[in-house]
Amino acid sequence: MSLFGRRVPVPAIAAAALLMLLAAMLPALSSTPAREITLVARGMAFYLADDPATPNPEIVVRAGERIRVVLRNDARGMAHDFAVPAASAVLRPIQWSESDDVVFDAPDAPGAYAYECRPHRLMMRGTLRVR
Amino acid sequence: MSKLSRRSWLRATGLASAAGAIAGAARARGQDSGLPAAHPPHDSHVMGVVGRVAPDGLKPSVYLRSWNFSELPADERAKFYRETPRPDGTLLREYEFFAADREIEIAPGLFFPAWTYNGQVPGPTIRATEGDRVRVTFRNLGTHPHSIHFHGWHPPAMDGALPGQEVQPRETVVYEFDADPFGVHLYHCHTVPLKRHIHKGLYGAFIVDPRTPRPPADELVMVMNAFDTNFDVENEVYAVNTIAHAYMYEPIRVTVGRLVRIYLVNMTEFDPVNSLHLHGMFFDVFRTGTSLTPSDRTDTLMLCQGERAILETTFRYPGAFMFHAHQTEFAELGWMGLFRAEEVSGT
Repeated sequence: MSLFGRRVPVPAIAAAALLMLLAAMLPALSSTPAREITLVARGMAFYLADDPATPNPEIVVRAGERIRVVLRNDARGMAHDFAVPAASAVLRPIQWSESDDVVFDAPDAPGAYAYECRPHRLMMRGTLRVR
Repeated sequence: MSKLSRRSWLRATGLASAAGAIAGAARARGQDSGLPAAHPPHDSHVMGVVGRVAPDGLKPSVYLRSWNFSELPADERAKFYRETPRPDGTLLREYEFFAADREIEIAPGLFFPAWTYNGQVPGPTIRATEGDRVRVTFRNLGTHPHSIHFHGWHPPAMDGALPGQEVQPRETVVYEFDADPFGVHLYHCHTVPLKRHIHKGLYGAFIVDPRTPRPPADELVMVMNAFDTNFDVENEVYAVNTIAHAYMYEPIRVTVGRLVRIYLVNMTEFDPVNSLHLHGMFFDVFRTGTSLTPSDRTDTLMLCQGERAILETTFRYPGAFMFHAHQTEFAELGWMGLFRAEEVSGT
């Protein structure tokens, strides 16, 4: 095979292509994959998508773990947001039937931190437990 | 409100009046000589709305017969209402109330940016027996200062309306008082501007039963309310229990021969008076419900803002009975409904 008029061995091209592919993937590989947690807002409480019986559940994560919280709003006519103040995580207010997500890193120090819907935090507030 | 905006609203929402058409038809039948043979045709000869509101908002048929969160399943209800017997035989009744902004559908496709108690307009009905202790924990989850002001005997500290008693967003207060006197009362936000805070939806019925209960009856809560949808300090939509014409399409089912008791509260803002007229029947009136002896027997009752009454009647005939504000303008704009009386075999 020739390249710019010079003969180049095929294995060399394959090796170069592989290197380029790895380089392109590098940013994705270096960023920590986020753990996804889906929350549903309804009846002035948060619920885990797979546990509709427990309002404002405790969410357990590892210290420093990267978290993606997907919020779905099932409360017709009401806007809800999601925030973890200790992690400076804030998701914009979501209207009924909408969903959106926010990615943040759990605090490095183990302990109990609050997550909340900011306008409704007197009722929509739970614990983010960092282990 | 101005004629122009009301007309355009009527067209926009599909509400139309038949009153003119019926009058025209009667004239044409009754007086043939010298009059045009027929009234000019109208596009719509029906009164009401096109379509229905979504079923996940306030359900007028459920609200009618619910108090103390009785419409909720037991575990859900326990979050908002608890009762504890007291040594003297009365009850401590504890309520969890919150204020929250919510967009509600008041006619098919017509949404109103309401301020609500517990997400609904009217707010949940509170019902106690005279002498019970009522304790309401109120969380303001809204975006404005709010309060709950209860009608009934209470010390000034529990008034909710005095300077310094407004509850800021994300604050919590507890109102506590004895249920007194028996009757049909109301509660509402008393934060200024008052007319706005009430009309946005912060009100509800507060029923106090006498220690010796009234006779058994099919009991109904009706709150006459209205909505200023374009903020011109006049109402465009009227209703009993929020949703325009709801009981026209879902008539209130009652039983012939059984006593019916209506707890009627007027929470209309901007219009000084509202009224209830019942077709084909008469009812006894207990003003404010504070007496066990009726003060009047009529088929049309007028109530000022914040005024209320208990109405008692018994349906004599089966079939449909219309009820509406006798301010017919209000009726055509949503404050109209039907009873459907049915005979039950074996009674």
